[in-house]
Amino acid sequence: MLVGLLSTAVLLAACGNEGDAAAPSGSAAEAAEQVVRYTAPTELATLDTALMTDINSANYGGHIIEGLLRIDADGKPVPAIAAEEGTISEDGLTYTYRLREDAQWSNGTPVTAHDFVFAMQKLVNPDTGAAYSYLTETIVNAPEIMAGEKEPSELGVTANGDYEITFQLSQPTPYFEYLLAFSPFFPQNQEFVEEQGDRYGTSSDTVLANGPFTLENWDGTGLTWDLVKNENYYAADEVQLDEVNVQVIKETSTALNLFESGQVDNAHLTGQLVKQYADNEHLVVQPKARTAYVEFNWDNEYLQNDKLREALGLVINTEDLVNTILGDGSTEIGGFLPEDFVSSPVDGTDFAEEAGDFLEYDVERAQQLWDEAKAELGVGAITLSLVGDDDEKNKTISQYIQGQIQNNLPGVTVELRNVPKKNRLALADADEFDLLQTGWGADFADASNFMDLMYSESPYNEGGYANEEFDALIESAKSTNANNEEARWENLQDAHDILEEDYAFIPLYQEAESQLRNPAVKGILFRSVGNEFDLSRASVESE
Amino acid sequence: MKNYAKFIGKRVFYMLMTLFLIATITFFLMKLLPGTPYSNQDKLSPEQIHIMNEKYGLNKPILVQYGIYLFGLVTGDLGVSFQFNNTPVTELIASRIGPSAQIGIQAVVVGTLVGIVLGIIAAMKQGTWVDSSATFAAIIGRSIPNFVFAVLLQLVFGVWFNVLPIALWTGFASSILPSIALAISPMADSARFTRTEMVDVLSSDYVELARAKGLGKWEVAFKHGLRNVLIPLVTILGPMTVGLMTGSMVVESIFAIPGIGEQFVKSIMTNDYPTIMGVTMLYSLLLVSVILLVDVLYGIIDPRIRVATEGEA
Repeated sequence: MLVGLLSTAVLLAACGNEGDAAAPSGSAAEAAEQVVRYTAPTELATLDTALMTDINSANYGGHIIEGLLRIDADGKPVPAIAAEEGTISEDGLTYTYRLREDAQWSNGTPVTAHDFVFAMQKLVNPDTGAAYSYLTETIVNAPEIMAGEKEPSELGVTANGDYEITFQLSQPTPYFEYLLAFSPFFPQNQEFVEEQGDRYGTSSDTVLANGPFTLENWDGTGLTWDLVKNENYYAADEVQLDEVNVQVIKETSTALNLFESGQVDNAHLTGQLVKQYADNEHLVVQPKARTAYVEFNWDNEYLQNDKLREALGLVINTEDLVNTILGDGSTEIGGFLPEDFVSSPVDGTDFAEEAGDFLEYDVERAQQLWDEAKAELGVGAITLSLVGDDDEKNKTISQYIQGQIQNNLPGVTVELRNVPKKNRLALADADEFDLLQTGWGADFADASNFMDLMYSESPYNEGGYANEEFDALIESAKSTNANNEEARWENLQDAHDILEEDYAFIPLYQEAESQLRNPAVKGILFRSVGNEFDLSRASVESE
Repeated sequence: MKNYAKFIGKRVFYMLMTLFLIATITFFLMKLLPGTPYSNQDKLSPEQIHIMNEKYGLNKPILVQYGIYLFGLVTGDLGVSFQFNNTPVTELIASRIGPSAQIGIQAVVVGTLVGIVLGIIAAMKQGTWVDSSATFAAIIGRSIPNFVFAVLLQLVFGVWFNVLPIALWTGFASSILPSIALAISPMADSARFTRTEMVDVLSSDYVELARAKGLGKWEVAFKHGLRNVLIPLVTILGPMTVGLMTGSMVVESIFAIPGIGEQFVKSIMTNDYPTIMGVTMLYSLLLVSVILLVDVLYGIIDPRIRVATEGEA
């Protein structure tokens, strides 16, 4: 009821603005000032790169701190603090980088290999309590250090002098360079960090920058902060913006009102508002490497029937789901991986495209399969629980799935259990579901980041899917073929085929980030994986 | 006077007991929430969660955690927030309570004053269209949630007429619209209470006497009636002030105000244990203090209550 009223109010507010077609932008004088007024959907949790877990902190942290590598416009890791491409040993176990000697922290001290060694040791140290420490698991001794069996100083990351660093891995990690461009792997200046103690990264005064901007005027919990051009940045001449004034706005209607009145340069849109603004020239929709899908509980005797699983998947019309039900810019997916995520080392084909579409909407075939499944199982009617999150979007999707299954497969009853996300995770861990509405957002751009989820021993494989052939392919991609890009790609494609043959999941949609943006701001880089955007090479054009 | 001190002392003791009970109950209820306080819990393996629980002391037996918590509370250490890594909860509250308190107090003051005036007018014009429309306004004000007013105010004064800021926290002007949105409910409540009490008072003997002595109708109402009206009003005013001071989640969110209300709700959603406890204890402390203050105020507003208390003791 409350939500209904609120959304009515939001619509009212939105409608009130539709007539206002004037371009939202500052005056020409302001434009010449190279200042962007950006909105963020939530507060900064921390600027300590070792502790960052939320995308918003990573987004802004990535503007002030650079790692060895950064992700360029094509989504590939390129040298940043590294002076040039690294040297990777034949066996894929040793990565060596030369650092550029002109990189400085904002207090004037040089950025050295020791800063990386310190940051990596801090990340794996169990006393840090870093949630992302598991990303280091293929570095020599990292698992033992995390378990408290070895000292952080024994980590396989070493400085050879001030400007050379070596990473020693225990197994080939084909996506390792993507990790080097991810915030937990960014450097920290030991002297400064130890001086700040626990307060490191809790406000703009307690963090050092080595990137294109410094972060100012952040009191640690507030709704505002500024990115200010860092004159000490080694490529300062490429940075055109003098300042980015950031304001947290959580209410979509408020952000819209401010955008339409020209007080901010972007506004995030959610839900049906995206559809409503579909024709707006300022709308920017950016697909994310995040998918949603349904997992089956393989302990359920009915769900062990292939025909039943296929029938359940065939009644879900993902086109209707993304366009009519969601209308938030999400797109259809035909498999387990998002689109435009990774491409083939052979011919550059997108993984999702090569894998092809799976479970295309077909009610007739579904009904036939369900009839056969009933005969095989010897039942006339079954009841399945569907567990999902209780936010508006996920509830809507649950209801859609329930409706499609119950209306098209007479005899199947779907009981909905929409609970807060933390409860959903607990129910999933306890195996208390038949169908689980879940999803995954990529940590790094590699197909294994998704495919590993269905490995029988994976902690994220909640339904208990297990196929020896699938496991063997995943293992081969990790070991035998880890250094052979093409064979590895083949392994992962074959593994995806097995998931399809087994009807191991039901694909739902790929998420997108939608916002209205002032067209005068040019050159903002968007990424589907890792840090979402990069303002470092953006500029404001006068009209 | 000695008895009075004893009375206060007793009340303060009960107050502390109440706070202790609240701390205990909230602590154990909170521990029943499923999940962990880690924001990317869906990506953490059981081993990783174990490592982190070890670091944050969440692997200890619950009674030990309770003991540690109570010790911290008594020594003024509320722990560090999980949502804002390593930021002490006391600091989080300190930086967030100001804006919430400002708009809360403005809302209560404006809302109550307007409400009292409306209530008196309604009572004086009892049974006329003025009375009915005031009652109607009170019902509307009480039943429509404040965030609907907030969005409407934002649209009308911020977007259409462009006379006040749409949102953001940049000075007094920013506090006007949220204060009005929050003032609607205390206004409606106090108008309703004032009217009911005033109607009673106006038909009492001493008012008749005052009128007979030749005092004007409005003069009687304000000079003699109002004091009686204030007693029930003070009772509801205390908790109302605390409620508004500690923030309103949706209104703060709509106007992008860095307040505590929205943060409190988020701390519950994310299992940010130290913040949940910190804000709950602050809220409770304010509430029990205000209740004590109200009891003391009774004596000042109405001497009969003070006499009765002293007589009893």
